[in-house]
This record gives sequence, structure tokens and C-alpha cells, in this order.
Amino acid sequence: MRHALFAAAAAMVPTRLARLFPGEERIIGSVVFVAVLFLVSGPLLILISTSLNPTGAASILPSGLDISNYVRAFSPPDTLYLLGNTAIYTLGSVFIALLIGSSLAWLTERTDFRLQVAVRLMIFAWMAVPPFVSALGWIQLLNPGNGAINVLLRTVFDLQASPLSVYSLPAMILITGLSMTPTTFIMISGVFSNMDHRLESAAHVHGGARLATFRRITLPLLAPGLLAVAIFQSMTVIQTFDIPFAIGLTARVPVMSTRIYALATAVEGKPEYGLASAYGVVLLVIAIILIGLYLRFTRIGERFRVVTGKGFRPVRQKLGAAQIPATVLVVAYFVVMLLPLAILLWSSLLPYYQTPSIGALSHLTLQSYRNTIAQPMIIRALGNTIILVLSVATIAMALSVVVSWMAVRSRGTLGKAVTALTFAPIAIPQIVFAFAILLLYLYSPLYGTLLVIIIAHVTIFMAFGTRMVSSAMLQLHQELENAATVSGASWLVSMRRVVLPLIFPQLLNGWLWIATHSARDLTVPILLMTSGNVVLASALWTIWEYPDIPGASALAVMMVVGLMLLVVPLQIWSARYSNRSAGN
Amino acid sequence: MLVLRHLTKTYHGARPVVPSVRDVSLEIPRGSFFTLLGPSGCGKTTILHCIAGLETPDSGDIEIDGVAVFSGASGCNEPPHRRRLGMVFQSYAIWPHMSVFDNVAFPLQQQRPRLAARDIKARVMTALSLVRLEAVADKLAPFLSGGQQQRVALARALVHEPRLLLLDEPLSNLDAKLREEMRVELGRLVRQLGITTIFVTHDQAEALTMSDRIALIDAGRVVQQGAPHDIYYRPNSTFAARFVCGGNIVPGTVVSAPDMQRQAEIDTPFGRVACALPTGINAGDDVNLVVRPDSLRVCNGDAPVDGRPNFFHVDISDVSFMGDFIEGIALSGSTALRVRLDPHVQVQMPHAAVVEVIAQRCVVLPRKE
Repeated sequence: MRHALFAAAAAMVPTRLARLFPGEERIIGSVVFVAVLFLVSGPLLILISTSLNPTGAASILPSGLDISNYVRAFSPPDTLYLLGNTAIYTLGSVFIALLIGSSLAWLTERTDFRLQVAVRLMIFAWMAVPPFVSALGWIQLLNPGNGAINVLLRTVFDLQASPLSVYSLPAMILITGLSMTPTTFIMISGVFSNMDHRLESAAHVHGGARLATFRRITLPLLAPGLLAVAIFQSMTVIQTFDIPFAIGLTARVPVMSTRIYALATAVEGKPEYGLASAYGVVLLVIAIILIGLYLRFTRIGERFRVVTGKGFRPVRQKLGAAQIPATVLVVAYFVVMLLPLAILLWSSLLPYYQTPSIGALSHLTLQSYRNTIAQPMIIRALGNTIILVLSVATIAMALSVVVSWMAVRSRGTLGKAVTALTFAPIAIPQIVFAFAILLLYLYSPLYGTLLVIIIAHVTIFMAFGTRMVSSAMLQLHQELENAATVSGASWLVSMRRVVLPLIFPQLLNGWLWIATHSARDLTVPILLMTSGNVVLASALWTIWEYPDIPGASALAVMMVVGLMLLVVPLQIWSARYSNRSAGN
Repeated sequence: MLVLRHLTKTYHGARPVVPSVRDVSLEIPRGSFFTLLGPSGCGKTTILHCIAGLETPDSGDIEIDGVAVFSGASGCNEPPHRRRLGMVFQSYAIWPHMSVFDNVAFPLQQQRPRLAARDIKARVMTALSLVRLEAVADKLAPFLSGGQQQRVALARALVHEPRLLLLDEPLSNLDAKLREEMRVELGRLVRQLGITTIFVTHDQAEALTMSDRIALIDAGRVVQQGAPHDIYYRPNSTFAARFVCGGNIVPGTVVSAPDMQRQAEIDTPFGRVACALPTGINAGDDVNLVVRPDSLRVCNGDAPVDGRPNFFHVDISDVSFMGDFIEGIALSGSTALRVRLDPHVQVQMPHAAVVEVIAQRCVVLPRKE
């Protein structure tokens, strides 16, 4: 009876109205589309229009087409020097990262190396170390005045001057390269494990000797994948801001990213938004070219990829006597990676900076920790960071869910458009994006608030969230969702009760990844920093600059430990989870 | 009662753009078991999805019990969750993160105004007892066997007493023995409940055994509609004959004018067959003769042929033992006919025999080149 009434009522609703007001998924989808459109394209448009303003224009508002900023940006000799620096810095860092990353990946994926588990643990835990924190550690190790290693070398070899300096391009390259080895390792392991080892076995069976097989089969198969990793990491280095910022400014080795920062924040004189925008656009174009190349090479790589329904055990090479040198090298790598953290720990436990020595041991104290925690700025920064991390991760994942659903389930053009939009930030260097956001909100009441940092981080990290969620949704059979809809569930209910619970592991993983990266990012907070929106990363930098070395070290150690508590359980859990699903 | 009128649906993403449902009109009486039968890609699942609301047709009308749920002309389009239907999916779509009970309770929990938890429990247990699964109510869905998952899907589709039960190839993922069992059980259950059922399948045996009526679909169109018996014995096209009857299709030409009883003679590659022509076919027309296995009788090789109409000499070879019968290929010249033999009669292969074409059981169809 009631059903009949419902049906009658439904029939009486003017049907035109039903078409005008489609289901809730269309409404939510359209709202999200508009939001994402604004988040991504707003800053970019203002960036481009600012770059086309006349040189030295006070306003950032568009006032015509003037290429004088580009003329200045490309006028020699400054630009050549800048581009040259950037190129050497990029190539050098990527070379180091690839060399170490692929050696480690080969040892853990393809041989019977004994320290495999230790390598993996170390690599995964490394996500908790913000790159600029390890840069601060290296400064304490290698600065020409009282850097611990310099002091040691001076004493041992009885030298007058310090042999090494952290404030140089080679040091910058080394530190950046080392800080990228973990992500490089993870990407290259992926390339290795996607290769079907039976292809090599086939070569062996058909008479290929070890070297011939490597040269004619293994290398050509791996080449596109390795090249793609190299290109992706080049993009990362070009975007890298924090290490060049911490080291390069003192070293007077400018690269593109720090130049944009210097122009935008008036390190020298008054801010030059027009010129900074021009550099930003140039950097954006380079990044877009690189992502284009990256996509091209990953597509080629995909062709060689074997979809491995059944798990095959790769044949691992026996290292034999080579175990010992391999172990020595890997342990040396661990030591090098951990040195900057060790020195930070050391100086955080002393009332004032001292070179490590037995004598200094008697001065060990937790006073720096107590002082740091008591500072009002730190308390504020901690509160802000918690708000930042929670809201960025939650908002970015919520947007990712809607966007991914539109991308995966809807055949319409809206779905395609919104996917392209959310992927765009991958090609936009963070420093450029942060600067563009600065321009956009400079004259709005939002400028200087935490909200601006939240907006920037949501836009930047949404690309990652979308990638994670949409690959999870792709694996979800559409009929699971259809079954809910036919059973009488509205779109929201079917998302809440069927789709989201089923992709919960990936949601949690993505949420934690974004939370961690939002917490450790220095680029956005430093560029948008005011007294009101300081977060832990920018607070750490402020104390370091003050300079309060023990306090900064203490804060750095606390940050790393805090992130470690977030990252390590997650990594162990997700490794177990993927093992379990691979076993099925 | 479900009515479809001039339903059309085209996927625009596909190249080339071909309508996957073209001008489909159907009337499905209340309480009947109606089957959409056709080869894969013929559009039958799209029709089902249009009924469910999972796809939006380009034009046409869909009415359930006299009320429009979709109308291309007026723009009415009820979303699927308000159509009050039950559906069993090809993959069963049992939600793996829920228990059997929760899976089945879901449609009841979506009803507004809300049902009392006690009522939900009672109705879920009734539905589970219908499919004999009360014992596994608390199990998580992935721990069930394929047949059990299928029955959970059925319970979930029935628990809220939907206006229609939609079945999207529900048996195709089961192994042969289980499929047989489920076919019987499903048919019994649906008849017992008297619920209007729309069943999509590409398996003609399922369609013939279970349906009250069958609509045969080819390339998005309904090519024939009728009771299983009608479609099997009176296919109206070569496609229907080939797809439903699985018989021999023999090309031929009518060589004599039909007499008062419409009897005429047809020249075929294995000889001249005398049989009745349907109206509209006359002397000189090219035809296809549909010869189902049951229209052939195999006699001993020494049976007299001369002068008797519809008797032909053949050589039988390539036999396959199928259990309750033996299938063989009867060769006459270059023409091969599939025939059935008595498995209890041992014969040497190849084996000379005589076949009789039982003319009343043959169907003559126009042949379009």
C-alpha cells in the first residue's frame, strides 16, 4: 500500500524537474569539479598574467602583454649561470641517486644479499626524515668553521684550513642525491619486479651466456623503466627547494627554485613578482616537458611489463664471496645516511654546540628539549601543524575519492576533465605553485593565514591521493556498486557502505602519506610564512636561523621521531597487506 | 507488468558508433519468467541495465505496473535506487566486507520509513531459508562457495519483495553440475514466489528450460518473441534457427510450385526434399532448410531408398560419444549433417547408412544473400 503511494507520488513530480535536478552524485561531482578547477587553474592563471606585467609593476593584476620580464629572465650572463647551475645540480643528484638506488635495488631484489630486510626497513623509515632536516645535519657535519668532520680531519691530518665545505655545489649535489636514494630505490625495485625473469631464463636456455643475456635481454627490457625513473627524479630535483635553500643561499649557488624564492620574498630589496613569475613559468614549462617524457617512457615500459597473475619466484643470483664487500658498502651507506641524524641528536643534547668528544659527554642534558617545547612559537606551530596535517589529509582524500569516482565510473567528459585537472599539480613545481598561491591570495584576507597553506597543500597532494584511490577503484568490480544501487541505496549510501569500506586500506595509506608529506614540507610554509601561520617545519627553520642550534636540533629530532611513529607502523602494515593480497 | 516501448540506446564512446539497443518494445506480464536470449554483445544486458536504471536509454519508455520509470519524451528518469527492483549480477557482487546476513539485510535497511531491526531480522532469515542458507548467516561472504554466493545474491535480490527480479547471466559462473542444480532451484523458487522475472542469458538450454517467454535478441533488436516451444520449433530466421535449435542449416532452392497443402520440393546439396513451405515462399526461391537432429532418422545402410521421398544414402563418421546419445557427421557428397545415433548400437566407422529427413519437423526459411 505504502509502495503504491510512493509510486504515485513519484509519478506526480514534474518530470522536467527531475532532469534539471539530477542525482546527488552529479551535484557533488559538479561542485568538486568547480572547486578543483579553481584550486588548480586560479594560481596558474595569476602566475602567467603576473609574468606578463611590465617590469616592476606594483600590481599583480593583469595589465596587458609585456614580455620584459621574460627578456630580463633570459638576459645573460645571469640566466646562463642559473640554468647551468640547475642543470649540473639536477644531473649530479640524479646520477648519485640512480647509482646508489639501483645498486641497492639489485642487491635486494635480484640477489641473496643478507641485509635485504635491513635495507628495506631503513628505506621505509626514511620517509620520516624531512630532506631539509638532513641538510641541517650535514651543515653541522661539514661547515667550514666547526663542522664535526672538518674538525676531525683537521686534527688527524694537522691541517690549518678545513678541507671540506658544505656550502658548495658538490656538497649540495651529494646531499640531495643521498636524500633521494630511498624513493629511487622504491621506484627501481618496481621496475625490477615488473620484469618477467622467465625472459632471462629463456635467453639462458637458448645459449645466452650471462653477459650476453644481460646486454641483449635484461638491459633493453629495463632501459625504458630506468629512464623513466631518471626523468621523474630529474623533475623532483628541479623542484627541490629546501636543500638548495638551506645550503645554496649561503653558498651563493642559486638554482631556479631558490631564485624564485629570493625574488618573491624580497631577500634582496623589494619583491619582484613579475620576474619571479617569469622564472616560475619557465620552470613550469621545463617540468611539463619532463612529465611528457616521463609518461612516454612509462608507456614504453608498460609494454614490456608482464601482468603476473601467478607469482613466480625470481632466480636470485648467489653473491658468494661478494657478500662481504656488498655488506661493507651497504653498512657504509647506512652510516652516511644516519650521520646527519646522529649529529642532530648529539647537538640537541648539549646546552651549546660542541664538536663530538668524550669530554663533552658530561654536559649531556635534555634542557634544549625543555626550552624548545616551552616556547610559545613552538606551541603555536605544533597546534597549527596538527590542524594543517589533519585537514590537508582529510580534504585531499575526500576530493580524491569524488574525483576518482568520476574518473573511473563516469564516461562523461566531466570525468576526463577533472582527472586531467587533478593530475596537473604533478607537473607543477611546488615552489612555483606556492608562489602562485602567494600571488593569488596576497591581497585577500586569507593571506598569512593557515588556510592558505592548507589550500596549497590540498592542491599539491590531491594528485597523489587521486592516483592511489583511482587505482583502487579500478580494481573494484562495478557490479558491487550497482548491487547497492539496485537494492535501494542512493549514491552517498553506496559510497559509504560499499565503496569506501572496500578501499579502506588504500584510503588509510593515502591519508597517512599525505599527512606525513604535509608535515615535513618546508617549501609552502616558508614561502607563505607570516607570524600567524607558522608550522613546525617553518618554526624549525626560524630557530635555526636565529641561531639556536641546540634548539633547532632538538625540534628536528622530535619531528623525525614523531613522523617515524606515523610512518613505520604504516609501512609495516601496508607491506604485510600487499603481501597478503599478493598471496591470494 | 513491465512495458518497454521503442527503447534505443547508443554508446557514444565506442567506435564505430552502433546502437546497442534498437527500437526494442516488449510487454512482460506480471508473474511471468521472461528471458532475453542472445549471443554476447547483442545488447541484452544493456536492456536489463536500462530496466534497472543503471544505464539511461536515449529514447523510448519504460513502465512498471503502469507507472513510467523512464520516458525519453517527458524526461522522466527514476534513479535505480528508487525503482524497487531486485537484481542478481553475473559476478554475484556479494559485498566481501559484510556478513551474509548484512548483505541480505542491506535492501531492507535502505527502505524509508525505516523498518524495525526485529522485522529486518525476521525477513532476512526468511529470505535465507528460501535459499537454504540460514546456517551461514554470520559468515563473511568471501568464505562461501560459488553456489552459496549465488544463493546469497538471490536472497538479497528477493528480500525486499521487489517489483521485478532481474537476473544477469546468474548461472554462467558456475560449473556445469552446479549450474544444472541452480537452474532447477531458481526456476522453482521464482515460480513459488510468483515474482515477475527478467532473465538474461546466452545459453539457449537455460532459456528453453526456464522461461515462460523468450525474446531472442540480435544486434540490439528483438528478432523473435514467443514461448520456448514456439521459438524452438518455429524459428523465424536463420539466426534464430542456428542460435536456438543448433540444427543443420541446409541451403536449397524451391523447384516446384507448392500444392494445396503447400507441399513442394526443394533441391538441396544432398538431394531433393519434399516438405511444406510457409506462405510467401514460392517456386524458384532460395531457402534455408532447418534440419534439427530430431528431424533426422538414421536407418541401416541396406534400407531401400529408390522411389521413397526424403531418404538419402550417407556415410557416417567422426562420431563423438555424448553419454545418452552419439553424435555423428553424416556425409552426402560434400554436405555434412549432424545426426544422433543410438549409443547402444555398435557400428563400424565409417559406416554407410540411410537417413530419413522427417519433413514435418523441418522448417523452411527464406535465404537472403
